Amino acid sequence: MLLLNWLDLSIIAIYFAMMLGIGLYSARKIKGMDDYYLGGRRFGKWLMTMYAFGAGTHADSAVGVAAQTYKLGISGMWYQWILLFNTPFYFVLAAVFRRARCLTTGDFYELRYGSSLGILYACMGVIINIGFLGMMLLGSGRLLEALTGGQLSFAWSILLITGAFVFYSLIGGLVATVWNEVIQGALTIVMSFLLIPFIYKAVGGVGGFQAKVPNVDELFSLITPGEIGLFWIVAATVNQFFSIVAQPHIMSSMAAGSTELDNRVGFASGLLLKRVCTIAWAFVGVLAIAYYGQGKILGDHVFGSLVRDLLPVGFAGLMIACIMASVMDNGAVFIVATSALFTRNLMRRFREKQDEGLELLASRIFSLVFVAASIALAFSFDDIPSAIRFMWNLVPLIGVAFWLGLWWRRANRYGAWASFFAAAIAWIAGFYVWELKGDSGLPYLITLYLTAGLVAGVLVSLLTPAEPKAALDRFYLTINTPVGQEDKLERLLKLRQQVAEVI
Amino acid sequence: MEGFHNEGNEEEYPKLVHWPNWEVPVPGKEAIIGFFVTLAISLVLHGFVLWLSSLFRQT
Repeated sequence: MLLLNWLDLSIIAIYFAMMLGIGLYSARKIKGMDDYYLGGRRFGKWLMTMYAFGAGTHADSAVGVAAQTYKLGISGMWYQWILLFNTPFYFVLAAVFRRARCLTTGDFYELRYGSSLGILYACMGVIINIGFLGMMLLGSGRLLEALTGGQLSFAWSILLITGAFVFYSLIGGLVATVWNEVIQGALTIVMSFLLIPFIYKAVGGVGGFQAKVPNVDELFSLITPGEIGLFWIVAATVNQFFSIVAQPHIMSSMAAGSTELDNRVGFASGLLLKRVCTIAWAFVGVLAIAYYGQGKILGDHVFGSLVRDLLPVGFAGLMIACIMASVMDNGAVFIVATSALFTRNLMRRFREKQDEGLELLASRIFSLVFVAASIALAFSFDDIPSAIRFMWNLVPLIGVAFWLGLWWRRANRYGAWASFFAAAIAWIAGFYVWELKGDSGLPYLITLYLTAGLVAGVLVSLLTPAEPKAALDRFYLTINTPVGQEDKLERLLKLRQQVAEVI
Repeated sequence: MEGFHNEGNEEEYPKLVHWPNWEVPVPGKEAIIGFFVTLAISLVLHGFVLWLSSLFRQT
């Protein structure tokens, strides 16, 4: 039966009224593209933290971790935990994105490699975001389905969620999104930990868990032989370096702060906050083994079923409000980032005269097409863990070119194209021909496509002409000069030009 | 001019390695401090998970 009572419905109604108010208020402040895509680059550390946390934390995060730890034990938490040891490096890297002075990640590729890579990235970025949004819809749909005991079907859940975030993103842009992240972030943290005391008590604490589950040592080992071992952890960690830099929304996550320090602190803190919540999701999933029995219910339903079965009246409504908030702001982030790629990196290639009003309209129409494709993908994924693995493989294909270009002057556009195609072919061959599938095949698959992409990128770059020196000088000086020192940047560029002319 | 670096000019950004064609900048003080603070927090979180897991394994 549907377990929502008047209290649940009241909480949902109040929450939506609040979100609508923020969205409408934010819409009044949008005056141009910078406001729409990067919120005018005026967010402080606190807002950036909650934005980075919210943008990287979707319903599928909790659902996916709980599903995997319910299946494998605590080692399943590596699905989110692998980012823990990458985070310190992101503190250093965040400044690069701000200094690049780009609105989209596509602009970054264009700045380094020229317009052809900007177009390639824009196409890949759209596909990547369709994947992320599809995965998020899958997770949220499964959670709503479990929360309502199946009365709200998976299909109807997805349609309801989609309607909410499309409406929200169309009116507010990133300003509305960031404020939504703050509220949603606080709710997510509360809901992540709220389940712990209830399920701990329900299974009878440590003693009760040990009495109900025979293989405790195995379940609380961070390694699962044959599934998640040391090779898996190392390969997935390295893979994340190539993945996070190529995610389309990363430019707004790392560059919308008002200062460089705000970006660094905000992004790193947001990711660390997510790791703290990951601990709660992981232990909830393992404890559910004692509560339901291992494999007795669908993994994707574990988190939602526990909320429905254990939390008092009113919390199901709060959880639904929390999911809707998460999907509304994350859906909006994906829409904003994707429409930015479409207008800036694709549409402008075919229009000589820029018209911001027309671009804003086109980006909003394109958003609807993008959402339709994401819904279709959500229905094609088997479950959340397989969707996560698919995205882990897809995004780094274009990320190899990012790292080659960031530190190595000799990397050029031919090498970047070669790295993308080599990695993509290796991925497809590894998955379909050599059947490197599931957790057991994942580290081999990652090693295969990253090696292919790096080798092809280096070899082809060495065998073809380098990028023009002036363009490289501009790129490297730009990403190494803090925002606000534009006079210095121009001075250095002129100096380099003069030296080049003399030589 | 590949590998150009403006030695002696304080305005030029310092590089971690001076190999031809490599552009790895020296991270600033802010980045280095933040890196180690973030690393320390990450290690504490990982240690916390190991401790919690050991609690459940104890008989």
